[in-house]
Amino acid sequence: MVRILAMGVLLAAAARADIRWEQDFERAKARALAEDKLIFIDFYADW
Amino acid sequence: METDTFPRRGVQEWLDGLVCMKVNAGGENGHPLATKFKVDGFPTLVLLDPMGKVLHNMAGAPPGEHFVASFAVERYNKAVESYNLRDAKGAAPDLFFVRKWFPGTDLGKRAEEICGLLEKEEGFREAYAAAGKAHADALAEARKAKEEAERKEEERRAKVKALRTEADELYKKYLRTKAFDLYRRILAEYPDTPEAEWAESVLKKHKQKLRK
Repeated sequence: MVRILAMGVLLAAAARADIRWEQDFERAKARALAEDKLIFIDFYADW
Repeated sequence: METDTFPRRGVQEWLDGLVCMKVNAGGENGHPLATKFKVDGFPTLVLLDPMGKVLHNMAGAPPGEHFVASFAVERYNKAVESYNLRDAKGAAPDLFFVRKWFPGTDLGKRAEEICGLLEKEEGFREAYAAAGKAHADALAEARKAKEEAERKEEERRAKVKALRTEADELYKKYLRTKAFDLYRRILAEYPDTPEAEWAESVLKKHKQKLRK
């Protein structure tokens, strides 16, 4: 029972896992092309 | 964005299916990219298709619940307009777009419903399949172009490496004039390679020796 509960918690955590943010634009482009995915870029400023 | 939009379930599920980047426009790495996309307000959100074509480039983030829909709404509205004009064929590319890139979202589901309604209209199936094929073809072409560019770059690297080996050997054999000609050629024809950097350093050393 405890094990099942623990697994449930783990799965819930996995479902809420953070978005994987790509660091390099060339890599992002290569991945998007290979995996047939859109690229989303969020430009922010920290000043 | 970080706290009110991205963690929302629908937003996160949609972003999970994308390649995502967060770029500090003022940072050393981010600045050239911000310039490329003419970013001048924050946040600016850019959406590209897998071939690198800009689909959206907008300053300001729509409120959390409208976030995902804001990227799809234009094409969705176009599809609805065609639908209202009983133009099933015209609606097909827009419906394909919304279903392809926004599956499981509110507008994606609605686009699916409209497809169901248009299924039996003349030419709809063909037009929808053609939109899918156009995308697949563009994707295949871009992949091929990338492979070709990579192959050419590899060839170029191999060639400049061979030239450097040849030049170094000439230099060791005291065939200096021939060696320097080759180094100059490397510098002129293959700039921005490690070999060009090496050629430049050898030529520089030689000049300094001559001065002495």
